[in-house]
Amino acid sequence: MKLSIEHVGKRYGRDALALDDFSLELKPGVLGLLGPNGAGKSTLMRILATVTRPTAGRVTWDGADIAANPDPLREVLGYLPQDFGVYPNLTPLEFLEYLAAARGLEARTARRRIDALLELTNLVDARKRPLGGFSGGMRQRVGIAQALLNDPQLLIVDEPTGGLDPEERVRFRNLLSELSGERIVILSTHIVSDIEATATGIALIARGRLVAHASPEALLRAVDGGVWEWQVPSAELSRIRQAFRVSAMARRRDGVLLRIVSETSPGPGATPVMPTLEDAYLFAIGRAESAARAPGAGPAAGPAAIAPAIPASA
Amino acid sequence: MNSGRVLFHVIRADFLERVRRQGFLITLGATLWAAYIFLPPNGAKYVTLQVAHHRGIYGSAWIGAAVSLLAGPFLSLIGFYLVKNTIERDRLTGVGQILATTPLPKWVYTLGKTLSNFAVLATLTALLGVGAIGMQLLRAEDMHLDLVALFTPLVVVTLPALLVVSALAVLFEAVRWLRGGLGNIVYFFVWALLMVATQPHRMTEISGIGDFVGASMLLPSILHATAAAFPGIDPNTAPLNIGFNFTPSISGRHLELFSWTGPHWTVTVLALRLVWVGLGLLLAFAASIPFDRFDTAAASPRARKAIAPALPQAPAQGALYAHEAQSVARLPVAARSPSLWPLLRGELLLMLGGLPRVWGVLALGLAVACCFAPLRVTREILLPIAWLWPALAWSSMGAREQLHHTQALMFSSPRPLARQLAACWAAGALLAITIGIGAGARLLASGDFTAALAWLIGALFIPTLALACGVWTGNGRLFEITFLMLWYVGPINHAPPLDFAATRPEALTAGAPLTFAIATLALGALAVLGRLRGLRR
Repeated sequence: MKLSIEHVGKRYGRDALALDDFSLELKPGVLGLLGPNGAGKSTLMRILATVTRPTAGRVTWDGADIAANPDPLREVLGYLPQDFGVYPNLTPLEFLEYLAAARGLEARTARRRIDALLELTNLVDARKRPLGGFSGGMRQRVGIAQALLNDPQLLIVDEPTGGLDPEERVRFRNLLSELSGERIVILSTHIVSDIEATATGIALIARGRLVAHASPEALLRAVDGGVWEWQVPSAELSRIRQAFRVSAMARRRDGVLLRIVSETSPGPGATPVMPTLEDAYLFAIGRAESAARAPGAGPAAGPAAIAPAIPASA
Repeated sequence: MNSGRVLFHVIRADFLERVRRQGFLITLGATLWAAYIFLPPNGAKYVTLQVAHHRGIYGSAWIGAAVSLLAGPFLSLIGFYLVKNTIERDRLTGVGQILATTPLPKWVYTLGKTLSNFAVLATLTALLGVGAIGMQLLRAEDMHLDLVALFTPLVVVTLPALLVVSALAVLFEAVRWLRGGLGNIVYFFVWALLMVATQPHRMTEISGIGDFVGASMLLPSILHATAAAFPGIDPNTAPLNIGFNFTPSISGRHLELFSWTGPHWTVTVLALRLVWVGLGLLLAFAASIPFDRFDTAAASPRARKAIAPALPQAPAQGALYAHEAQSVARLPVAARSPSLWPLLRGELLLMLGGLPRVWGVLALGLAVACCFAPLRVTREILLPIAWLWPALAWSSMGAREQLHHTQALMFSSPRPLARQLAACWAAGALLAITIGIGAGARLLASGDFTAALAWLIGALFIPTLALACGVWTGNGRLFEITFLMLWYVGPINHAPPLDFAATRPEALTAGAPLTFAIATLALGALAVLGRLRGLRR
């Protein structure tokens, strides 16, 4: 079971480049795909889910090109898109039965799995109500159930926790962890805490390019000694925010306590602290953004050139 | 902010949003093409405007009048479907929710939307005028360009009708049950009624409030001028043709030409058209009464019923994902199956699931009546009605994924073309066959195999048309209007070449079954191509 993304690019129209020379190889485990809004995460997810075709490069599933021959992957694919609709006049049961049929599942055994999934996502009581009346969270749970219909070997979930309340989010993360065993799970999000709990590997993406691919531990090690706490007068805040990447701040009686991501000490009195994954993310993305803005930065610059401190693969 | 300024911005934003869409370029191209085909050269294989084999020289006055007379019925029908999506867009994009929280009065909103609709249709009319200038120069029968003579009929005759259409489109969007496909069908009959009830007068411009599309503002002058130029012609009885006519006895002939300088525009004539302008404005204000101001709580009783019980569903503590008790890894695994039946069942459910029970009862009644009524009544009356009845069920075929935003779910399933598209088509065909089975079976039993085959072709043509339209447009509107027009001209008015239901034997001799068999194959190929295009994005 291997998913290879080889130099994939996606261009919309003449100018908009959503993905640029993106390469990655995935084996069983949970990959957290992390990046700012508009980084190209959803485009990549749609390509991997065979909904969109790349304009450059190729993606292979166990050696077969998924653009030329998508069906072998589709048979083992579970996909929860970022935005998806439902048929408002169908009940969750009917909707899942329909999608199970579309995925080529046998009706009787599919029904047993649907019953179990409805129970798993706590939709049993709502199973015979039209989906048109569902709240965003309930709809998302239907989406989660449909992604698991065919016991997928490749599960792609794109911003899955949107619309879920905090308790639902925690439980969804646990569900993903449990699923990871013998399958590839790709979790795309811009919420670092969603990934922190579940991912065995993290891919950072910015401006359509792979910035880093590493284990969470490696990402944290890369930013060791690069996170600071610094208390400054409130009047200084604006100047400091322009000069440094501030990952958190808290008001104090005698000023503002800042958490700063910087390779060097931001100023006198700043003390190094233990980094979190969010700090590591900001550090790597910040470097990538700076490298992209630097004069002479061209398309040849790969992940290693953008973020030399972070290994490009775990 | 005063109402005038708010009104201006409602119109401006809506108008810009529409004309900046790529699809509008296609509309503009089609409009210029319409100007071209409205004015065929003398001796062409069809005629558009002529009186007993005579027509005016293509000078500015005649060209303006011809384009106005032909564009009126065309734009008042197609234009409605073109602009009837302005409130829907605000509803779908969520802009409506924002507007609902502003002090914007409802009447300003509906009036603004009406005027925005009107601006779109007026732009098309203006483009027709520009195209007409080009046609006058191209046909070169009279090179003297008189812009006032050319544009006056478009402004005086066509635009008032289009204001009424613009307001009706907003009114239909404001009334909940007229918003969707049912409204599209209802408008077709409203339009037909307006055309019939306000038929143009041949001899006088002033009769009641005049006709809807304003033909009576021009026809008396044209008929009198023809009679004056050719004394043998009686303006009361001379055969008059407005519209595309391919009939061999009329078309292909070299028409005799005469000079026409246009009608005499009197204050009374202009006032009559202003009545229609007033009616349009009145309808725009009236639309504000049923307009729900994007209040989702004002949904249909069925939707409210669906929402109500779902809301208090607070999950039991700790049981949101019950995998504490049941591991997701230990869930029963479903087997794979090549059978298409579960998918066909799902497609049938999608097609019919949202329709009210009374629809089903009447559909059943029609199907049963087709089995037992005299065969001639079945073929000529019951079968056409039976095949119109499920139009709304068919209209979402091929478009459902786009309408409900489920493409990502459906198109990432295995073999979406060979399975899902095929099942969707099969469900549509099954519906057409089932509801009209009485006619088909009896034709077969009577030994009229040609008619039975024609019936089968008709049954397959309808869902194929729906599928192709849905796949390419992403909504049901094109199918609704195309099918309705075809249904009205073919099976209802018994135009043999267009009678896809072969309601009379003349349709068989006119070769309708062969035409529709070819059309079915072509539309099927078009549907497959359209879906392939969607899958390869």
